[in-house]
Amino acid sequence: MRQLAVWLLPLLGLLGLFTLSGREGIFGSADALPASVEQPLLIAFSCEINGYLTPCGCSKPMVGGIPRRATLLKQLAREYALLKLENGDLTKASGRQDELKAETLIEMLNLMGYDALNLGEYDFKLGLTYLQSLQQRFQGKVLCGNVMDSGGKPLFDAFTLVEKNHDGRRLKVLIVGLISERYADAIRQRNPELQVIPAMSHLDALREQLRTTGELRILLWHGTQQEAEQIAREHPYFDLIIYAHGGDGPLPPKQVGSTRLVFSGNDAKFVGLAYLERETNPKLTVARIEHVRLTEDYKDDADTLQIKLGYLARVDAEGLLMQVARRPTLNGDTFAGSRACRPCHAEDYRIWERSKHAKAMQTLNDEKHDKDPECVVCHVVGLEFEGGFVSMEKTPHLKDVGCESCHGPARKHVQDPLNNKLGKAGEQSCMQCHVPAHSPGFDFQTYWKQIEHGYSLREGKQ
Amino acid sequence: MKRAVLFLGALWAMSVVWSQSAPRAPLPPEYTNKAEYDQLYQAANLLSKSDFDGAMNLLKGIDVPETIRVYASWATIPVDLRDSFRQAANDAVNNWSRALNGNPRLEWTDDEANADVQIVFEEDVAEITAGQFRLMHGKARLTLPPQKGEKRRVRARIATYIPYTEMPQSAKAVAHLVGQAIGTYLGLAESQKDTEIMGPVWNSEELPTAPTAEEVERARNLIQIRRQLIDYATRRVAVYIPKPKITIEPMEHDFGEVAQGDNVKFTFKVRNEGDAPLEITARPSCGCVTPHYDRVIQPKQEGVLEAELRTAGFRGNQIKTIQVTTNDPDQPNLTLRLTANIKTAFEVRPSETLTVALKEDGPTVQEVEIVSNTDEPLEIQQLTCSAPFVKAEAQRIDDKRQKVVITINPDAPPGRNNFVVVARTNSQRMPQLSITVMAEKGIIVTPTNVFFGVITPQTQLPVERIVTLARRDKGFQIRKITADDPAIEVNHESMEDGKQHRLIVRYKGGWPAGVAQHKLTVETDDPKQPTIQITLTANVIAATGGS
Repeated sequence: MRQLAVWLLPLLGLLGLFTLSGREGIFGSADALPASVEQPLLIAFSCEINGYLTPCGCSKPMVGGIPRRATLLKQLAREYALLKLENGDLTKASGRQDELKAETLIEMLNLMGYDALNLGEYDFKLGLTYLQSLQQRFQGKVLCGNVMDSGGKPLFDAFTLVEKNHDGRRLKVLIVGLISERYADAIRQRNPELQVIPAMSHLDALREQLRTTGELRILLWHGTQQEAEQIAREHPYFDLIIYAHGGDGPLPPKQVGSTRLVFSGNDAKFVGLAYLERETNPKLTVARIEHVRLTEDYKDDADTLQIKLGYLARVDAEGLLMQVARRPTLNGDTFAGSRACRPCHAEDYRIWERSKHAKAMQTLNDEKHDKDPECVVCHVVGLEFEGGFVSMEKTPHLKDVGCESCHGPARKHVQDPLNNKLGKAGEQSCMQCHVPAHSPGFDFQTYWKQIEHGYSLREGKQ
Repeated sequence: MKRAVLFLGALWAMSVVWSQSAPRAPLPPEYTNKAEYDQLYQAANLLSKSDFDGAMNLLKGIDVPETIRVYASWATIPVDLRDSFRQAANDAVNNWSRALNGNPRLEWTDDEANADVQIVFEEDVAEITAGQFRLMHGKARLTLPPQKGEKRRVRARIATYIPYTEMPQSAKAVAHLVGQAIGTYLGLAESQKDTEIMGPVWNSEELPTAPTAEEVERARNLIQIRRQLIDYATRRVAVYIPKPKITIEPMEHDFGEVAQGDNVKFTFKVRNEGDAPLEITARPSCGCVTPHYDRVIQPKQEGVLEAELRTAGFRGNQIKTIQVTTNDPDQPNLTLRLTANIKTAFEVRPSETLTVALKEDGPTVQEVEIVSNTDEPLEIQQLTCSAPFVKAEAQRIDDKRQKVVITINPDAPPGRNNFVVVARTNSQRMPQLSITVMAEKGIIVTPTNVFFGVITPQTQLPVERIVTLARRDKGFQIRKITADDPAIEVNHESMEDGKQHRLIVRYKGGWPAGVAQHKLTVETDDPKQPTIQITLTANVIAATGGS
């Protein structure tokens, strides 16, 4: 497997060279050019990527992905000076794979030229040390001003001041980053030494400094809409508050006094855009909000996609597939493989053989996710169980979605069918894998018709 | 009471009389350019609400002047094509001029900045739509006041070569595209009819170069509509337009607590309070929500939008939205919200994922509680652990709660150990649940695999990464740090009385193209972890110079 990675990475290198010479390569792109002073400023915002680097590709069409986001931002850079903001929860922080994803996302955000990243509770779940190593790699500013160390010292900046072009002048933009204290327990669970200061009291302490700094003031608020409303009422000097945890789709912008509250959904499906008023108005205001849905119409940006392929090669090189924690099967049995079912269930086997389930591993190969445990788990038999799929070399009979994926391990049944009957599988079995994120169009009745089987036994035609 | 009823009745009667007596607004027809259609429709809508200033803001400067001045960039046409292109453009302008019969007039100008129609000849005309780069014959773009200045204007870009070839465009195609630019200025949308000047362009000698009588009629009709609307706005006359008016009750629904795996439904009532048919489309934010709805609702009728939420695979508080797009000019977009708190049959408290610092000198014990969220009593039938140095046992607290005591023996290897404790339960809904434990012992390295990223010739060298070696209970010393490659340089800082060490690892450049894998060896005074190895990797796109 590692040998494969060693071959794969130089190949990616070549791919990169082609990209660099291409018309849309990053070094020749509009994004790399200094923004014209005449261009108006546009704020691009998003939050809670939750580890969704790209749509998994299990079904089409699917929405979202960072390479599509990069394409959109490159297009916008032709007409606008961009301020790019990310509001926390890069991943779900559930293990080594999410650490690799977090590193990959930092590379991607750097490539796209992100200005600031506010932290969410899941980012803290990576552990403070790891988070600080990410901070060191991020070329923009990492914010989260109200999380303190055991001595009460802030670990990250509360705000940053950036200068951007806007309609023929240089504009000073204040970006503040804070997290809601409702996530204090989640943060302390992984980092017991940390404290979360209530955001409101932190803002109160900074009020004079914030309200007099910058010409446009933005708060990256890793908290809910209700909390953001309260902040807007008590700290009305913010022009824009970007909040989090509002669900998976964008919500209509809300106006509280002169502050616009916005949320653009999660899982990297949308990018929110805040356009500024273009009139030569001494007071800058947010004119309108747009949420761009990253559909297949947005081609993947080649450079960003290359970083993703590098991530997949690392997943392979670190052997994450081999490190999946395994648990005993529910019935204590082990797996036999679909071929073992064929002698008695020939008719059902034929139906299975023609189904997409029988080519599930090939689908992953095509998408280059065949060493990615997050994907492989639903494309083989029993990855998470003792005696289940290990690798294509060691357990080829357990590749693809087989009979035992739904009916459970069947070795005892194969040896003594009458005394070890297998249960009937139902909708619940399908829904282990056909979850909305990966199979958005799943409908049991429709999908079942494509693999309908089990009649040979009922009709006594074994 | 009677008086109030009479008063309200009179008000209603007056409003009916007004709506019947007010002049009906002339609405833009379907053949109107999309940008202008939206603007005229919006202006009519504002007039119907007596917002005369708002309407005037949209209508000011939108009218077509008596003389349309056309500019073309002759100098950018290759010399050998210039005469034929110029002749073709002249023909197109003359054809429109004749058809319009001087009302309005068309004339050429050399003043590009003040021209109404600016025609620019370019070698290639490209358009990037949704990330796709596409060459095209030409493109005319109409901009209207108040956007981009205070002037109605068309900027048309015409390719001198046929897309993706080295063949020059035919004179017919140039005349067709110039004619299309003028048609766009007059407010016409692109057409699908091959016989019309606003129709598609293709490589043929049969392309029309003059507008059809029907197109001229459309342009005249649009002039009338604009003038009529401007007149109403100037005289501050309120108009009447039939339009749909959507109301949805409620806009948000909370399903409350839902058992994971259940499918729940809610019906939103959609009513059309207007006097034109209401058309809606609904798009959910998640594949887990399926909307079933009436696509067209007749005036004064009620329809439904039923939303079904599938909860399999979700847990905790969920917010799902449905974006509703309508033809109600006052509410073109609405967002419906569905919220639910999805409960699994059992939950682990405080969390299903635990981080535990292991003791060096004895077993480490960690306790969690498994709690039933249903009326069913909780029974743990079996507990298994994925690592040999871990034991777990269940202790019953009451019918709905069990304590799981996880004991990690001191023979756990140093560093990070991830393992899973699996509880087998009596529940059909949740026959198994897993507790993931990340146990840390001794010196912890973060990260264990240092990735310098994608190194291109443009990457600024050196590339720096920080590696932290930390131990919670006591300090330790680093005796020696060795890299297996001279391109790596390491600086070492000791902090917190030796409990934390920072290694600043720099890659100075010079590795050949391909995947680079190297090792950093750290020697410590800890007898249990005397040597720690850290992997260094990079994806080098092309050989870098080195320092």
